[in-house]
Amino acid sequence: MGGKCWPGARGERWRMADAVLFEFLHTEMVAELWAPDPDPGSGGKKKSLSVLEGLGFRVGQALGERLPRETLAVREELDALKFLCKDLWAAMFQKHMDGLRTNHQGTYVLQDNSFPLLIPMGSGPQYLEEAPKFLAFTCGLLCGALHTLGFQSLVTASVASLPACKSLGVGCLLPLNVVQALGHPHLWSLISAGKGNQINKL
Amino acid sequence: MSRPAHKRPEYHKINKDLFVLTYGALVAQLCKDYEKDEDVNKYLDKMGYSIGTRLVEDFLARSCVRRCHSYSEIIDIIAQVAFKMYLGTTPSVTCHNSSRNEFSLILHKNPLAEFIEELPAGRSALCYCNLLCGIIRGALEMVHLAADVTFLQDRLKGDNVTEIGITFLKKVDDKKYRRKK
Repeated sequence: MGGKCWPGARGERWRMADAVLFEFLHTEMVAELWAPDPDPGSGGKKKSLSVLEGLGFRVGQALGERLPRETLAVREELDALKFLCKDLWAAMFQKHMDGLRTNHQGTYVLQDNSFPLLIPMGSGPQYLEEAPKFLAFTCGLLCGALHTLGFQSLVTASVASLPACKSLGVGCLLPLNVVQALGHPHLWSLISAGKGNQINKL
Repeated sequence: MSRPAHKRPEYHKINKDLFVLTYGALVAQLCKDYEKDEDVNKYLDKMGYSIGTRLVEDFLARSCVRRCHSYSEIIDIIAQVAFKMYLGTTPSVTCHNSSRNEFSLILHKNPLAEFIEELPAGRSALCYCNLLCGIIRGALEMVHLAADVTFLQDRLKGDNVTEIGITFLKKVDDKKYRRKK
């Protein structure tokens, strides 16, 4: 034994070493911070979600301040969302978002078909109940980055692993419960940017 | 031909910042949740231990490190391979005693504290980077090397350098190693 390790041989899961550190830290934060409830008066579950989202928000704000210089010119709402889907996602996860949809009234749906923080959970339905814990930090991060770019937003996420629904048309933003069925999404991020649209949480 | 977006140099920097900033937000949250520095330190060490037990698998898969035959060899690998791989820095190594089971890693650059000038007010006993101690201890334990890992010096506390002390708790059994070859 002692043959070479070929980094590419491990396929798409082979990530930069320093990206691995973030993923392990994220997993540990989900495991540890989900449980403690400093303010037991309010609903415990919601509070834990807020803690992770709050952490993500602060990180997103700081990352937003480290934008490549050309993105400081982001002025339009859609440009900000495109920045998140391409530049921010590429920096964080070494890939682009798979989809961005909008109803042009301030609501956007960002889709990632293989969200890296969920991939280790496998592709079956058995961990579907646990998945929201692994999305809260990233929701906060997107919200924080938008805040740095000058946009107020509400960010929520949902996960579905249902089969593709072939009858859906292109370019049409559908009701939430139907949009979930599109493709094999691991993450839907819903962002209500600027106009304060309220989206009912699932 | 434009370079693929995810290969741009500044993205690598942002990715490193992601870990450092996330860690900073975590420490801030723990300081909010716990009154005592001692409790925050314990919590960071516990989280680090859990990370270390899994990180060592990633490290061994990436590095093709073979079995080590001495503690100093293990420390060299931690300093020159593991720290370089995950944190982009290479600490210096010193050995403290004649039985050669007490070592120090001298961090001239501490990436975890890159954005920290000083400890928060009223947190003089906080070991800001205590996650690192837990990671090292957890990783070593998974390869059957029990060790105590603590910060001996910390630049954030006014010391000139940041020093991590590693004391191996078991003696190397040379016979066992020879037999397994």
